[in-house]
Amino acid sequence: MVFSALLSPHRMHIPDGFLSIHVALLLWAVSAAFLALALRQSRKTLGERQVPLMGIMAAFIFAAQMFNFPIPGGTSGHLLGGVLAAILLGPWGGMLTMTAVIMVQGILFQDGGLVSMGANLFNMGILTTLIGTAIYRLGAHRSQHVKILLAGGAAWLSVVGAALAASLELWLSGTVALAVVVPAMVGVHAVIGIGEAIITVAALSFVQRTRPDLLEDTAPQSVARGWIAAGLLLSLGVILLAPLASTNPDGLERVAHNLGFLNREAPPPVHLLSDYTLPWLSHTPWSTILAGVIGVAVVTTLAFGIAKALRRTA
Amino acid sequence: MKTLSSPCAPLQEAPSPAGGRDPRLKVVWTLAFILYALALPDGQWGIFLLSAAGLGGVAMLSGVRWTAMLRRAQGALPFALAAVSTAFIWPGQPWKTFHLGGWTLTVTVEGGIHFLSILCRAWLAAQAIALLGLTTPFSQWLWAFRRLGMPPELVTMLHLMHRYLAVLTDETLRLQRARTARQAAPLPGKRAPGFLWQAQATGHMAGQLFLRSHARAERVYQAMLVRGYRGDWPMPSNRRLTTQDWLLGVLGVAFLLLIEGLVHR
Repeated sequence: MVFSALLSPHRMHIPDGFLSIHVALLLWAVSAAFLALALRQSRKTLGERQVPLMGIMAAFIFAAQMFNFPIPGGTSGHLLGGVLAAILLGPWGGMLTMTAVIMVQGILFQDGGLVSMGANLFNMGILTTLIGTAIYRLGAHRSQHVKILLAGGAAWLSVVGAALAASLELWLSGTVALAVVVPAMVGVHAVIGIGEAIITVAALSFVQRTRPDLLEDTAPQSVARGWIAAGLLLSLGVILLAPLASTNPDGLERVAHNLGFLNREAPPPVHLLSDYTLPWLSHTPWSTILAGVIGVAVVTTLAFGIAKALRRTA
Repeated sequence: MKTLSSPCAPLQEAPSPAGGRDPRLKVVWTLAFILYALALPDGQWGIFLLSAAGLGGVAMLSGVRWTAMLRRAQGALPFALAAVSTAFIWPGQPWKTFHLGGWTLTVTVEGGIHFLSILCRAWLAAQAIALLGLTTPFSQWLWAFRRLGMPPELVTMLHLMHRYLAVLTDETLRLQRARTARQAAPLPGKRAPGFLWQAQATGHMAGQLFLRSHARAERVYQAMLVRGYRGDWPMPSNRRLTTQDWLLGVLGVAFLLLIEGLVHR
């Protein structure tokens, strides 16, 4: 499979030419809005002392990305660093730090393009820090054990989320087939994410043992709830946009149609939101949107349930 | 593993079509060229070739080696492989059918043209960035970004990151060497450390590097305060856009717009 070439997290840096102008510019606008917000919040909450700290922390994240170790299955564990940066420096500081890392990688090493840098910033800098903050703060005012476990989960999810976002952007640009890119990218990064999770957990455990003051969460409960709400809103945003993207069949469906075995698939034993639609609303965009909202609600309930169970056992 | 060979590579600063120009002009022109390349429609082979020849000519006149340009653009290769799938799904006239095991895959004429056009556009964009990178030192990029309106905090962060990259990379390599030394020669009859040990050791190394970087950041901040740091990184430069710079920039963008207009007519 050609997608085995996309094995390393560095292969998430999309070069110019593979995203359409519309997708690239839209993601630049979204990333610029998030960065403006991050700068505004940083000016309000952090002093000028934090600017050199974030610059050197950006060099730290870059250097820490060099750490790797073999993972069974032929790939290696790497650090992307978004969740680690968000936990150690706060969401806004983490976002700015990851921005510096991605910009230097793009300019000095030509890892990723200039016009597509907005997409790279969104996937690896903004999405990962948002996921990290939202999940880590689910364990606000709980034991460090629970928090570090949540950080590990967030680290894995951030890698998979960034890979999924990159896949969707490439598909929306008409560069790759959705049925090929999503399983390939998400499948590979689900394994790579294990490395991210283990390194994040071990690094935070080390910091917790030696400098626990650096991990103290000073954000009030209302702020933590705000971040969880922001994470959910982001998921809902993706759902609302998804059905408007394309009405054409994806690549695998087209191949199946060409070969005449589209109708030969065995029916599933239970129909739950079949084809991402609700049966009483037929195949309309609203049906897909509502099915997505139900999906997010189910996943959120499950996540809260797991977090509650972890709190009880901690 | 990432190395620092790229930032340490010799950069062309001598006066030349690309080397001696104002960095702002080069950054804006490169962005304009990439947008122009991305907006070219599928199958414009003549225009693709002409654009590549134009870029190659500027690179040659600026003394940039074509091998260096190729090396910097290789990051696009995996995505080029991924884009192959579009040749099989793009609707159009069937061109060739392949039988792979139980699979039958058909490449359409339009799909093939679309795939090759993606490669051409990506190639042009990668070469434009490579030319900019090879003729513009990092400090000049930052100077251009600051003058083009990038917030001072972000510019300071980029400066400091660049300055301490080599220091922290060196520290990382020392930590990795220490880990290798501790696991390279297990005692006779004992197995080498397994996956979990390696993962834990790597995480601890990352944690240790963070603490060292944090302590270093504090010392750097104190040193910056002593030297008069007031929140903005000083970037003295008496460079001004000359009439020749303006003329070159405006003519270049007008030429790209003209080609784009002709192609889309």
